[in-house]
Amino acid sequence: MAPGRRDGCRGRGAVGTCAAAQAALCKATAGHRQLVLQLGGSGDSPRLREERRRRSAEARELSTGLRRVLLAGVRQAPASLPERRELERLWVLFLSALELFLQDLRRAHYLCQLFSMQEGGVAPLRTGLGGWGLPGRRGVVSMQSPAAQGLEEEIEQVRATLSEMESGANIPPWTVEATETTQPLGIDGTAARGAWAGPCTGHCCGVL
Amino acid sequence: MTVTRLDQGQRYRPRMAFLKKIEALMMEMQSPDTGIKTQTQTVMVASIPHAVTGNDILQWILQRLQITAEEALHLGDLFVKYGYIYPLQEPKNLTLKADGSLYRFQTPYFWPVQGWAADDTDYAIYLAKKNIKRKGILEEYEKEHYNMLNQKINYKWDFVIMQAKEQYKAGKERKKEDRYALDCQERAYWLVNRTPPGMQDVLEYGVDRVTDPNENKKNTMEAYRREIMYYQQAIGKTRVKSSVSLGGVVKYSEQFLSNDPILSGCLPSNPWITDDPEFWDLNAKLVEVPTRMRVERWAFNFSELIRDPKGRQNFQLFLKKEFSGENLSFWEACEDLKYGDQSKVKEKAEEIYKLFLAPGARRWINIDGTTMGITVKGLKHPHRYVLDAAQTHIYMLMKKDSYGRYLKSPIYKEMLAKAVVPQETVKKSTGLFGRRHLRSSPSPIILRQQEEEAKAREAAATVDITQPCHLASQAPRPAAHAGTTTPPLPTLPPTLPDPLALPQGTACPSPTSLALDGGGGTAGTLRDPRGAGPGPFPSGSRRSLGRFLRRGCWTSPTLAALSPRCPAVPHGKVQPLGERERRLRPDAKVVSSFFQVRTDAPSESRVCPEGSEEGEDGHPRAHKDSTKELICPWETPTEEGRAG
Repeated sequence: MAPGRRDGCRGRGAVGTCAAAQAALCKATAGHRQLVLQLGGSGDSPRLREERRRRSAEARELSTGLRRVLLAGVRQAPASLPERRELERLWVLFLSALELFLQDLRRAHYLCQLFSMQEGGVAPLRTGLGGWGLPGRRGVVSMQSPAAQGLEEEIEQVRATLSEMESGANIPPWTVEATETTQPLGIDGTAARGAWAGPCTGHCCGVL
Repeated sequence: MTVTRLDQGQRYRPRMAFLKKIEALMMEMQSPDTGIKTQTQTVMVASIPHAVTGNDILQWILQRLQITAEEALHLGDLFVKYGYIYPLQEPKNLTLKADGSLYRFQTPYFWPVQGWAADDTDYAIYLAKKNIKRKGILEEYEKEHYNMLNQKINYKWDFVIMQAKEQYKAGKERKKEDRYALDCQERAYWLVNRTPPGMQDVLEYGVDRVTDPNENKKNTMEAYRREIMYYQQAIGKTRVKSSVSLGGVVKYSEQFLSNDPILSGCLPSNPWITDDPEFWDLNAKLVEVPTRMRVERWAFNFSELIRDPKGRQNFQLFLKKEFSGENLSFWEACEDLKYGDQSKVKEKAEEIYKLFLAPGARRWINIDGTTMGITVKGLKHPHRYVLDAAQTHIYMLMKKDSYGRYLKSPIYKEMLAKAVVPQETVKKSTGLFGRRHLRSSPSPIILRQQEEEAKAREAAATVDITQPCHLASQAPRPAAHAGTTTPPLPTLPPTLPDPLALPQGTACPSPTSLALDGGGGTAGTLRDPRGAGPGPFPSGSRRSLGRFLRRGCWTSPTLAALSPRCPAVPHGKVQPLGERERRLRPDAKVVSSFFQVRTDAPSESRVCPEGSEEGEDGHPRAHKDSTKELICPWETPTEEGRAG
């Protein structure tokens, strides 16, 4: 096993740390998205927003850690080829997660402004969802502009991370191959196997 | 990370102002006092609140907006189609039913907002999630999308799967009713944003725009300056008064009314109605005898004539009589260059140059010096439109000059007389069960081959006057015809009548041949133009004539000397390109005599006596083979080894 490069908290090497952190980041962003989904709906409440903020902070923390490790890993140019491939794969994963997170943050920002929790604000939509914890609780709320500002800061932070990553290393994303062996779904219901080896022909990819 | 393609700046969706308006209405619907009353939906054992009936929605809209029932229904339907409300009982049927069927409001996260479009990555995650939940549940079109996305964003696929799993797990943490509602919401969202086949994609808006409609335009000097420039340009555009353009439309309609198959019927019968394809047969592209309507149409304007292949054919006959057939051939060659196989552009352009434009070309067309200069310059880098200037010139030439005479010519009148007026048949179609004799028309490939063969045959057999200063082919110069009475010159271009005419012994009546009569020895001249051409000349002029012929149409001293005698010599018509002159004048050996006629007549007689005795410049007599080595100015002459 390669010796841990950075603070190796898991002691499994940089790549191993990254993988675990990546999984955690995915979990955090997924939870965050679930919460943003309910903004403006009947599940919306100050508590929800609080929860969203918490998740967002968690995700951002993970992302800073990952950023550090990945940037260092890339700069140090890992020796073995499989490790480098793994690093690149993690790099692309991380950036994708960040992008999704940023997108959700922007939507949250928009929705929070649209459905501000102030008294006399817009009534949330009746979407059929129960509230988080206690349904329909409207606290005396407090912070409106601080909340919006908080969101803007979050967005800014994530955006800065993203651009730093993108300019930090020159890893073309299309060189990364997926390791998840998802069989392509057969159209007739029979899974077509073995269509993965080699370059993809046949389907025309419009992009790229 | 997302790979964005080179987008040329078009990445903004157009402004869809109605979205904001719908949102406002949606939010009003929620108001506890004036909003819509909700019910509870019972799904299996769970009950989910906030369901609304279609009828309630309709009534609310009617009451709030004070519009007719039909309009309210349509508006409500649009709400559902755009995804603001989704149906509960028939999820795929995005219509509003004004009865008790239940709907629910969509969460604002899934509203169609202008700022963000439904992302491919999101869709991939959604499909993966669905697949994880239950394998094989994806519909056909979803499977296709899945596979397509798998290839398209393959580098992200690990992320997609990971995220799908996480989202699925996060969903499972909620209680059952919420989970159900969330699933319904997401499904409705993707039904709107990735419509299944057969459903109308309401969010389709065409091409992305360059400017962001949501952008706050800063009021800078620069922005104002650009705006002013834009408006100035907009004002400066030429416009036609609507009265003028409408007048044109009316005139066109009146003129073509009788030819319109829908308004005026078509003879013999409309094939779509009577199943009788005679109409198409009679109006085939190159039918032997065209219909009368068609021939009359040629007289409307020149573009009608030239657009019709039969018309072109007839016109070409006429032009041949006038010895300007190369004009139409050139025009057709240009069209082929423009619209034909673009991989062969370079070859085609060279061919055209060799055949029509080069000095001494076999079918030289008469265009003015500037145009020729532009064209030759452009031919260094040939492309589709390189011959546009010349083609326009020739087109206008034909239109302004030949066309008028054509309409009065016996050729056209004969065609008009021959044209057939089909009888109107009222043959009814025999119906579904009748035996209809269906023939298929000839395959387009075969038709095209036939056309090409015919063209090649014609091209090989056509003889035009080839000299630059031939008088007969200068159709727009009747004065030149009349004026060329000076004896030495008329035989300067020994007129080469149509070789088809030659064997028949008929001499085409051309002004020069009439002048030849005056010059004496015409019959013999016609028969063997090349040999006898310079015959009647005094040797001195013949010498200069030969030199002139050898050199082609250069602005050489000999030409100047000749010019008073050759009124139609196009001095300066062909601007000699400097390098070409330098290169080619010493290379006169490769520019053989003008009479490069590839006819069936034996070529030995071609060896003109004029060349041999002159021995000009010490060059050997031009061989027949050298005709093929006509150098295009942009090519490197190989024999000299001089860099091009």
